[in-house]
Amino acid sequence: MTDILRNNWFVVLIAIIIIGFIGYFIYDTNKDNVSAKTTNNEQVIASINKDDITADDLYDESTPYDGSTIYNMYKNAVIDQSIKTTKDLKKQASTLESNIKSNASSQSDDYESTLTTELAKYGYASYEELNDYCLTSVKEKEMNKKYITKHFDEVKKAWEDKSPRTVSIIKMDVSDADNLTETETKKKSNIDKALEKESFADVAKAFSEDSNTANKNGFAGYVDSNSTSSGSNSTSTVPADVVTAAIGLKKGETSDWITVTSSSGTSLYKVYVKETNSKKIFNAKSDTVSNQALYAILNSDSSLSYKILDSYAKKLDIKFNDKDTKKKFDSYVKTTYGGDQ
Amino acid sequence: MKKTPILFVCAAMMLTGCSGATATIKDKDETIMTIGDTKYTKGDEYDLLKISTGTDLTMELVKQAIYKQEVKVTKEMKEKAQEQVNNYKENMENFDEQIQSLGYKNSTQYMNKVLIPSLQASELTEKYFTDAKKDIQKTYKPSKARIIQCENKATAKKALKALKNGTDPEEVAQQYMVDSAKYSGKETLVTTKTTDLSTRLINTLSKTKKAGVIDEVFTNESSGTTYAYVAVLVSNTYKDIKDDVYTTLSSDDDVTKACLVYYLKKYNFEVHDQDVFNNLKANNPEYLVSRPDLSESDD
Repeated sequence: MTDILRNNWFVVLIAIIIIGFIGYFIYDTNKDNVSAKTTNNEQVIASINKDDITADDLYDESTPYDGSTIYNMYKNAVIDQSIKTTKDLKKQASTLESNIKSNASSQSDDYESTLTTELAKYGYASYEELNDYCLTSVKEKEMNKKYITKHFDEVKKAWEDKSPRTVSIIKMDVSDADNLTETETKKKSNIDKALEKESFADVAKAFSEDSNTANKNGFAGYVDSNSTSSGSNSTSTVPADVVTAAIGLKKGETSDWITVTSSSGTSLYKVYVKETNSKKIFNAKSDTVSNQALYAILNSDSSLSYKILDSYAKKLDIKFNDKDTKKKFDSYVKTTYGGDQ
Repeated sequence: MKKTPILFVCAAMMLTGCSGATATIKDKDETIMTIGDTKYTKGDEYDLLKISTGTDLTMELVKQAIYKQEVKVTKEMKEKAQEQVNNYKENMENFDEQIQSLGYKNSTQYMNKVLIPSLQASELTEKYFTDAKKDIQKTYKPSKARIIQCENKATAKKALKALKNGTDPEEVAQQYMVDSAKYSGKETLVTTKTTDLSTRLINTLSKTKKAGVIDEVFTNESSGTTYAYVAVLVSNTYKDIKDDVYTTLSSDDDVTKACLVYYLKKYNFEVHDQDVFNNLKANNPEYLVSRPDLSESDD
């Protein structure tokens, strides 16, 4: 034996190193793995001396919070079966997925775990289902759009009460609105004179100092009366005072100069109302405007999202096999959308 | 040929060690709803709940299990909880409807699930200040002292001389403290959580064996200005200052966390579900008391 070891010492050494490496690899892979435990035929999730918390305990404890989970599971199934997956929707879903990943990764290194928790709230059990979530989201938008297009006259009332419109702006930065410098006075006067002769779009393109809109002939997109409140869902970047002025104008009208003071300084604005026809806004060529209009319509009636989902759900065979599940679902719908089932 | 079994053993060992246990419910295959051709089971719902809120709820259940051992529900607690419910009902319209929308059947269930555990939590924190006396002394170095905040060392030296001559600290403060001083010779509790005093002063007060004037001038920078401090130790005997220590530290997040960790250790808390373990490992490794290496590596 000694002779064999002596003659093959190098092979033995390599074997020991390999075994050591494998041993460490196995230890390292397993060190964070937890062991299973059962009590009274129930699987245990955690334990302390004299007490076990079982998966069934956890399920029972979740009861107060699972209405939204059940609703989302229901919603996903209805949407997925109601809207056909097209190439275009797949493409939109991939873009949405990339945007979500890019935003999440810029906020946290551990973004996969954060997204996994968030996805579970929306009815998806793992990070690998992110694309499914995105596809359902774009399908939901498609479903809402189809329904609203078909029932536009029914749903437009609540939205029109918010005075929807598209606007263009001209912005001019000043040091003190009450004491304009010679240059500022001259520029203001030039804008006023130009507006008498040329279109708002041409003047905005030539004079506006707003970097977001000047290259778009001053077009600032969609606004409504919700855009004036700071806590609104509006995505508009038009200052609240400018929106208020725009709400008071008719199509084709231009406001007087509006002074806006913010943390970045003082500016003078002119706003022009481009469109007030709700149907034209909803069907706008610009995806940004039509999407903003879509979400504004959905927000103008708190029960509309559910009404739309329900109209598609009626075309499917739906059965609640569990009384408690139905009760939780109904209670969630009632609390969130105010609907009666 | 002889090498084959060894390779098989190694491969099998590596493969079996790839995942930990996950706990699921008894009737996981029971169908809860069928939407067109999609069938959802209780297990599907449970999996989602476990991932989204499972870890927090597990810890809540663990806390309740600890309360059962440490803080019995008393008649007074039940009365207090009932009083809270009565107050809510008086001041809130549709209280019953509101708690039902949160998923509680009635006010009794809300009382048992929310209000009484909350009272038990306060009671447990208070108990912690007795049970973990040594830990608290070691970590927070509490002491009660009369401290005078002076503009500079020279003034502080004069104040120290007056204190040594037996003048009352508040009287000394009137003469030597800086304008709008935070420390004006009144009794105050000092711990390691006191951010505007020097570590040396906090340590000296905690270590000094006899009450009385501390024969040293301490300095500390606060908002860009360096102040000088003199101090008279009132007591660092834990039983004499325990109530003040509790009042001062009980609402501190670190203390609340340390309290839970203390009882998790006492009751050998263990996790038997990989998802919950991974979540705790990422967010609260200190709760995994059977794996102290996980929280140490974060330091």
